[in-house]
Amino acid sequence: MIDLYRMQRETLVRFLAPVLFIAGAIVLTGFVDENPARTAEMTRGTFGPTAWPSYMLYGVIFFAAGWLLQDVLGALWRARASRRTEAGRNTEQANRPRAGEVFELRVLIAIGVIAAYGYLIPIIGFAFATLLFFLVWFVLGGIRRPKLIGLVSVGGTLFMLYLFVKLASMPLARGEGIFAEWTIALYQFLKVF
Amino acid sequence: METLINLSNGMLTAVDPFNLGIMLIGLTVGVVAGALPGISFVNAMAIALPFTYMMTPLSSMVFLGGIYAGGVFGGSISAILINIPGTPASLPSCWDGFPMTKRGESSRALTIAISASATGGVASALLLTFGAPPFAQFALSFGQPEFFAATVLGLVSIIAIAKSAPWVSLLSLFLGVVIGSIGVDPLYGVPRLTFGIQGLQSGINFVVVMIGLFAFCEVLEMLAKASHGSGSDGKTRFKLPSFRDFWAVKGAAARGAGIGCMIGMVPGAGATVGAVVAYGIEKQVSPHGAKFGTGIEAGLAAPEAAKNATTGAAMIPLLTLGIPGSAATAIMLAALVLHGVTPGPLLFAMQTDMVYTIFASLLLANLFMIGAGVLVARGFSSLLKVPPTVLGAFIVVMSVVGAYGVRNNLFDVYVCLFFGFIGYVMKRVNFPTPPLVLGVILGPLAERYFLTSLANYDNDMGIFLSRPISASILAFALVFVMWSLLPDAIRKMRRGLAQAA
Repeated sequence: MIDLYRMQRETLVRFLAPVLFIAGAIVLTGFVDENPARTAEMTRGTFGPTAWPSYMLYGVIFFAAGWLLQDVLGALWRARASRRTEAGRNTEQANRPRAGEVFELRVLIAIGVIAAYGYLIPIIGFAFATLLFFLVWFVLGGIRRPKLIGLVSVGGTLFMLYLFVKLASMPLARGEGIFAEWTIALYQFLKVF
Repeated sequence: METLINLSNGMLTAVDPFNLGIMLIGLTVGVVAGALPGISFVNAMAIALPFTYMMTPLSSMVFLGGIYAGGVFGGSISAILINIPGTPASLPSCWDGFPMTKRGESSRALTIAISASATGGVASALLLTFGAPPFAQFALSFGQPEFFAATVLGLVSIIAIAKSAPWVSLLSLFLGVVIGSIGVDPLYGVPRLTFGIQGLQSGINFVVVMIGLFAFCEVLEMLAKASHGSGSDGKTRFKLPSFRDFWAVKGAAARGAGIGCMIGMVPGAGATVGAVVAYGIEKQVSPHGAKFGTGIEAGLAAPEAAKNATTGAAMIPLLTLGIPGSAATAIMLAALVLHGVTPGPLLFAMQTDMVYTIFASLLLANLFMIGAGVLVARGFSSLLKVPPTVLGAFIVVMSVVGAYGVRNNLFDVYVCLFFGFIGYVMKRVNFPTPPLVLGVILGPLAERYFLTSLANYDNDMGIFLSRPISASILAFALVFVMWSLLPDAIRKMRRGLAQAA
């Protein structure tokens, strides 16, 4: 019998991942098509538009199940081997990240900053959102020289505006309300508009 | 003999200062556009198309050919230096190119990439020159089932890369294909897996996924280890490609070039399939195959040669049959049609001079690509001297704009951010990302070819096995899977039995 209490927490998490994939794929198979009756009428028993993603989801279930089976068999094998000798432990475990290493605070904040940047672009416009992003990012990255932060942020924003607005003529978001007016004024001042 | 005379006449026209000048401009534009993630060389070709109105048909082809050859290579610069593939075909260049950069060998990785790409490009230009008519006949025998089979071969080649964890890798691949199938289907117009979200109707673009998984993930890693000193490779100076570096990977480059030429001729397969298949096969045949993914030169040279070898080969069906096999060749077809030139067998008979000048230009473009590649790579190499925090900030902004620029849509930026987060989690828990990206790139192609095959052949599923070429490609894919997995499986089984005993 496997001694579940001896299993490490990571091993349980490892078992949980394929189970989540299987459960997620099963749930998703019910959401492939918004109107299955209409699709069935349209395709009349032939290989319809929902068949491909459905089969691919079955593939996800199959390979997640294989992964789970492989891990369960592996754990069984290791449990048997460890009863014989302590040296039989799988060294692979040592290579896996410890739970505490997975997320670091700085990375979590960075994800939040990038998400906020994406959120702010349509509201305050690409130019101001980028300037703000540079300022926050450099402080977050540990740069503590205000002159350097200011110079690189402003210079970087201007470079991006010249590259994408002037040279590539990309219709980047200008923001809403007063920000749109400010962006246009900035573009006119920089002669990129 | 006649071909050689025609080629030398074409060469004389190709070295005309105007043609040479626009080819060099095209090359540089292509390399730069390819190297910037999200701003693909196909976009650059599309933007350049109106400029060809004022050129002769020949000059326009020389110009666009330059962008094409340069762009296919350019994607590898960012792949090698910052682990962000500039083009989908540069994905395999990340696997061994970036580890070389991490070891402080970025200069060597770039010179290997440049010389291998040039080898592949020259090989395919020669194939185009001497073998276009017979190979065009071969390409003509390809239908939708064969395109599907070729795409399946590209998908299964991931097995060779991920044979140490086949279940997880195949799971990742299938997840990628599921993600690629989100949106309105290509045949019936029915939305799938959209959950009523408007932005998902048009699907998830692979460039957006690629930027998210690679660029954001890399930036977060950079920040996690951030020190505001110089980048890891700051003291490395960019060196010119050396013959010794190239000679060390000559076998891998030759094999990659051969595979690229074969796959490039298949319309729709393209540089991505060529590069991935070349990487997979090289991993199998190389004595250092087990170390692939840790910065092995052959693992970089083979896909590099293959992807540039597809450029000339892809022009065979374009020029001989008028079939564009990719977005890039479709733009070249548009340029020809705009100038009143109809590609096809008659083109070779009626406008021999123009055809051979195009061949000669492509040959020259691949040789001059070494110079253009070195110039652009040298500029990009200096990026590594920038402190990681500053470099990371610029990568985030470029990636956001790159994701936005795919369809001028902010929804793509959010999707990109989502995949950035997912990519970071995947990296931390050792879940492989390359199969997922490959699934997103090739999955929609496979679906389209699969559905159109069934539509064309009365929903007969046996069509893939009853047509000789498609059956042969699928059989090769199966053999490839066995070849990749069986030796490892047998070794593991033997080890298990030995331990049990």
